[in-house]
Amino acid sequence: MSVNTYLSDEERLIFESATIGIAGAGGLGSNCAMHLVRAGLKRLVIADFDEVSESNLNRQFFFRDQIGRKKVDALAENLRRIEPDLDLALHDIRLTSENAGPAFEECQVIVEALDSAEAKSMLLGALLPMDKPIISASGLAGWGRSCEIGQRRIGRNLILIGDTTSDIRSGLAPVSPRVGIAAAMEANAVVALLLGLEI
Amino acid sequence: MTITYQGDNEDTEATTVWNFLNKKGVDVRSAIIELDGEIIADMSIPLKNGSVLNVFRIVSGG
Repeated sequence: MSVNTYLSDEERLIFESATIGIAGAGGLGSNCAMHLVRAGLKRLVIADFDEVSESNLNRQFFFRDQIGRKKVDALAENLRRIEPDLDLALHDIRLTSENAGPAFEECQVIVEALDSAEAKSMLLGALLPMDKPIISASGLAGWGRSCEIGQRRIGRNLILIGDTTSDIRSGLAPVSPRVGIAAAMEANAVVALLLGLEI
Repeated sequence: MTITYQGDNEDTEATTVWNFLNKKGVDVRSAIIELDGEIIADMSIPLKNGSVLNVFRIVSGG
């Protein structure tokens, strides 16, 4: 039985046999994982080194009583409240160019959900040679301008979501509405890829 | 020669991707570079007449 009762048998089989990697369990990753589990996916590989802090609660899929816990553990707990029957591989690691490939080797699609531009660039450099679809995000800070959060396919395997300009370094805050839109778009791109639909 | 950069035709004397983007002031360390539909990491690739070059900025936030 899937948490998503609207799935056809074919869709359910596709979703339940897919393994999706999520690099980062912050604003993008925690919310993207939540959307994927609600969609009916059951096998996720999630990597993050960080702990839940109070400043995360404005946008990330965590709760006040989880402050101080490892994000991968708190996220797994929250995801299992939606769907207890999940196959989660949790990596409590800071992703590097050396460990990113092995961490996500078994995944069909990988979601880049990191914070800093340097980490995002590092991860893309490490994962693009694996020739797997990667969903990344760039430019999602601040308020308003929802429709400027676009998506485009770059090369064969990269789908980039965001406006590519709204940078937290420029003083814009990462806040729930725009981060949530980007996270939902990342999840939507994953399921579209799995189902062979237009992204 | 003429290339298409960010969707617009542009005349250039730059011989490589690096030459072209350096003149534009693009920081390639925080950008994805797409040349003729492929993501490239090697900026020394020569530009050709009719090349299509796109740059996508990677900015912080997540």
